[in-house]
Amino acid sequence: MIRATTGGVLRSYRKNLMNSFISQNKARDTVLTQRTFNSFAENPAAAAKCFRLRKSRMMVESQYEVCSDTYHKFESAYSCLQSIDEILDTENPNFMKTLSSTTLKMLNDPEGDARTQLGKVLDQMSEEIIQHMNQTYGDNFIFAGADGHNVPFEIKTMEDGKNRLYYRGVPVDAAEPKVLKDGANFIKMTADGKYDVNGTATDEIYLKMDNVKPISIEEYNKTYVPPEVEEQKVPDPPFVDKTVVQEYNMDGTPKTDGTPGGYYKITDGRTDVGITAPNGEQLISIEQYDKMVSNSKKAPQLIQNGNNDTAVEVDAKGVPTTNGGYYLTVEGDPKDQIITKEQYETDCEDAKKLETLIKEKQFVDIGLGFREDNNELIESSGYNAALQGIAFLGYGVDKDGDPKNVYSIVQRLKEIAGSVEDGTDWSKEVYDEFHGLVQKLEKASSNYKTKFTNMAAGTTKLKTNLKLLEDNHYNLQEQYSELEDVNMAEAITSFIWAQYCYNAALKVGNSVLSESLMDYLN
Amino acid sequence: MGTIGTFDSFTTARLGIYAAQHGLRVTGNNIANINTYGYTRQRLDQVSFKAGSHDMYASQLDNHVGSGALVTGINQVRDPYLDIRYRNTASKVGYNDTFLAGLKEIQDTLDEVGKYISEDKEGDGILNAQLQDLRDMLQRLNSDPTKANDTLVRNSAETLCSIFHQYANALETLRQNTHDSFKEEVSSVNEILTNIRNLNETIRQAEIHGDNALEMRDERNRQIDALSEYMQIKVEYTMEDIGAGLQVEKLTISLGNANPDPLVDTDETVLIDGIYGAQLSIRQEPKLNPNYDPNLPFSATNLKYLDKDGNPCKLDDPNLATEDNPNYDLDVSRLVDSRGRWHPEARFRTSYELDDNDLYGSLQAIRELLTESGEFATTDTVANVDESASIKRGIPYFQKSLDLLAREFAKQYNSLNQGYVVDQDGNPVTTVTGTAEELGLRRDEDGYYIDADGYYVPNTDHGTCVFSSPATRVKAGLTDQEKQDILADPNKNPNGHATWKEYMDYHGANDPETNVTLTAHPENVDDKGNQLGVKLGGVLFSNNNKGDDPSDITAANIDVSHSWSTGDLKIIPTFIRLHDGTVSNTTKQENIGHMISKVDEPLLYNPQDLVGKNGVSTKLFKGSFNDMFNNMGSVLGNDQRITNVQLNTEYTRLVEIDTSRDGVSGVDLNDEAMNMMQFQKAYSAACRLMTAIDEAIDRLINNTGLAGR
Repeated sequence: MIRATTGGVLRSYRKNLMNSFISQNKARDTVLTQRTFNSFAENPAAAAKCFRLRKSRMMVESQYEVCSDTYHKFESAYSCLQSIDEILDTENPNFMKTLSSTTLKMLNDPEGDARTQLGKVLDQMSEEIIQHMNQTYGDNFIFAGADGHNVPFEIKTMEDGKNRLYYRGVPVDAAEPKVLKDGANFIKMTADGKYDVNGTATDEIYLKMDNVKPISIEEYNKTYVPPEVEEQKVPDPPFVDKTVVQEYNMDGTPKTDGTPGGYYKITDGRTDVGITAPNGEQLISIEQYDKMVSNSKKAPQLIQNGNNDTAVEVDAKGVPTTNGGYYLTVEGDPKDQIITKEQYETDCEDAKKLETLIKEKQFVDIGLGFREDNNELIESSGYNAALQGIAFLGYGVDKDGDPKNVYSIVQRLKEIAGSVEDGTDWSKEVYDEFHGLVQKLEKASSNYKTKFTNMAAGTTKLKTNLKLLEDNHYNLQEQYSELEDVNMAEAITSFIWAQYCYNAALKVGNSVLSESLMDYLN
Repeated sequence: MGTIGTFDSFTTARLGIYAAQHGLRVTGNNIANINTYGYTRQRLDQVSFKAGSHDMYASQLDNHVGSGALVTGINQVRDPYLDIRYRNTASKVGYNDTFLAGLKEIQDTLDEVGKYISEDKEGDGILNAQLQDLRDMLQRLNSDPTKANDTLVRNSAETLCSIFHQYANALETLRQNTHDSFKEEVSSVNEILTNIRNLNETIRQAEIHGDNALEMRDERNRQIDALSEYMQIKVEYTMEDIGAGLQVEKLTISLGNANPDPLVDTDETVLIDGIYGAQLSIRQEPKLNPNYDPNLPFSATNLKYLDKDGNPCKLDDPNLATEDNPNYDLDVSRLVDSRGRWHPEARFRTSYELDDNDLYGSLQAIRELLTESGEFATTDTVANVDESASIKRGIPYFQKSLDLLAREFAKQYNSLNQGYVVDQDGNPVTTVTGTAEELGLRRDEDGYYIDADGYYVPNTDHGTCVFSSPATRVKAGLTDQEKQDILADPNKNPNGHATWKEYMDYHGANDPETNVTLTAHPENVDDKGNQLGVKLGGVLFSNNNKGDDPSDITAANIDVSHSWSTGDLKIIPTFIRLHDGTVSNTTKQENIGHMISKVDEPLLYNPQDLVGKNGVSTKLFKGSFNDMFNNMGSVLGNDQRITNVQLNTEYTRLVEIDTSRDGVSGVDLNDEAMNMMQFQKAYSAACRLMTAIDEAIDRLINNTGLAGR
């Protein structure tokens, strides 16, 4: 600069003074706001990052709330399931209060002195289970899957007085009936349980295969059809007078020594049973004969042709066919084994409904990502908060056609117990059925425990997740705090320095205009 | 030896006194104006004076002595090069300062750093926090899809819409204020141009009469400096022959060749040429009739333009209304003098339409704030207006970004809340039965329910309903004439109802608690032609609260749709209908899950969604709603930083140049003190000379020739 003028010096001073003032003001703002930046313009990268971190923090807060809510729902569920577990637990020290103890007590009570009482206890306990399963958390039913606004389980008493359990309007024991089919085609029956050989029945009726089995004709005959033997007029046992029946030795000669182990001669030409003696006679041991006679008394019924009441000949799969070599045996009355098309379809639909309900999910965002791919939630990124009551208690039927649901099994036990009059012994069949159901109850209880354990693990996962979210929340706060928040010592030092500079600039200003040659003129 | 005049030396002394006195006056004037803004220090021009001429007969012994000093004038000390540099830099400072001020005002609206809704959310921002609040409410709805929680989501959405409104209104107010400011700035420029032209005339007159008119030149320089902040200019001084051998200075100011396009020459348009000056004006265009339909024939009501009374008119209508050109293009008028006479040269007798980039300075900064939309620019703008339009961002960029955010937000959630009902296996469900309330059906203004495709829902109480058949169904939103046509159509009105109300009462469903049956419309098919199921739901956001129209949603008009706000429509938690509705799923909420994840889903923001296929860019940003909004803040922040750096640089340079200029032209007290002493001493010396001469002549006159007395 060749020439420094008063105006120029003043201009320069003003600019620098203003800069000092701006610096001081900025340092003051930093101290007052306690923030390192107050606009995007001051630090765009940090500001953008902080907003991202803050957004993440807000999301974590929201996720924490959801997770906490879900955790408490699961805790309530845990509490309910714990109560049910105590009812089902065979190893509970308070043994007498459990379902197992009650059923075992029944098994050990063949004369049925306390059977009625025990039946009532079973009824009470099963209802208690359902009450627990109908508990709510907030306004929602805990075990209703994705239908939290409606009571999930409902017990309906049928016309025959039996209780039937419904889950979300669907019978829990629903299963696709096993009916006789030829490939995809249904084998049609008549209303009285016979094969509709001419296809003349008005309604479509199918044959349920739960208690129907194909049996080879050969086996049937071997097992159930006793051969005609020589000279015998055998009345029904135990009135058989074996003394009037000719017995033979194994070689075909008449047996006269009266010792056991004799044979009868078969005279109807059957060769599929017994032995052939050296003389060509067809013999059958008395023991085998007696067994066949005994079996013939309890031989199962055969499905008959509707047109001529003869046994339907079927193939190994049960499909009616000429020279199929098999019969269809039925336990009980064939009329009880038929099912109308409508009922069949309803049962199938109900079974599908149960499958739908058991698969139903209700995902919530607990901080696992909650991301979608092609408008479908990536399941691992959400938490399935749906609890289906039937997942715990069981649903459908097993291969024997018995219910898998705890309530239904208990109700069935109760029904069996109630079907035997007090003071009467169990019949073997009833005992076996009851015993079989008890074993199935134990299996259902075991399944329940497995599910309960899984749910408890899920609860633990939620609890762990809560802790993780807390840590995450803290970390996020720390991260943006590091970017946004000032180090107060540093900020105050900067402010003091800026103030010092400003004061110095003011002091300089005092001397900028102080003297010139004019002041020295006399 | 030449003749020596007796009193000649008195003249010398007198001229010395005069010169010194002039010097003192100039010094005094300089000192007095030391604080006068724009004052240029003055300097006395004096020359050595010698009277007389050569003698007829020259002698070697002749000694010519000068006759003193003559003051020839008073000049200003200016450096023209510094003026040029100052003015070039001033236009840059003007541009950056104004642009930065505009960005700062946008920042006041959009920058959420340090802002918060409530104390417990300090620093979380406003729109940022509200988007998360909406997410929180959706989470609640997800946990328990009840009507109460639906209301909470709606309340949050309403708050979000109001924040969009606030921001949009603030930006629009800013744009309007900037628009007003632009007009004022143009007026200020015109005032400066007028002042310069008038000063030119005054200075010219003064010059003709021999006056340098220094103070007026100072004023003119001040005006030129001021003009240079508004626009880059080129200042030239030439001499103009005014006849009789007399020349006067002529000032010419033209635009400073700011346009980077070398083919454009309007960026050198002359604004001032001596006593002739131009004026700037915002280019006006005929006001378009918004209701004009080019597909209809011309008629009294279907004309392209509007007159000043707002009626449709033709282009040649004398009452045609005009409005500012949307690009705020400027025109430079012909050059006229103070009495309105046109410039004698033909090239100055026409007005010029300035190109988009002909200006550079605060005026251009305001124009860019008003017009530049960055990635929202159209190909037409880039091709015909400014090839750099796609990288310049003014208020429209931020308005459009906010609009795009609001539009994308509404689009996503409107889309999510409409869908086709499927069964548990994902197959289309073609018939759905339920109450209107359960199905979340919306209603027309008369209370009749409308399905998601806009058709009236059939009322089957009276048996077969015409609305059930695709051939005779009726879409809502009809004009009176269309209603009459339907009443007259025996296929659609087989019962011959006389009035629309009777017709609708018979065929339309309007009871919220009665079951209605919806069937899939045959035209609803997928890409492969497969029939889609029954469509449910409706738009959650519309372009006003009085209707359900989701078209052309912007940040200024986005609102919760009428149907949602009245509670007729609700968020559809699920489109899955289990086993024909025989199994209820009251808390199934997969669709709410979609809505939650949508808050954080990275979405592509396409400017063409807002400006159409002519948009120059198809990708503005990819990110979540929050990210998109914060990207606006980042863009703004970066633009501010860049502009601020440029401003600081240019301002520092300007101060330096101004200080340098002051070094040349400014008054310095030391300098003036020296001059004062110098002129004072010269004055005293000249007076002493006069005394000496007086004494000498006195000796000659009164005391000479007395020898021997």
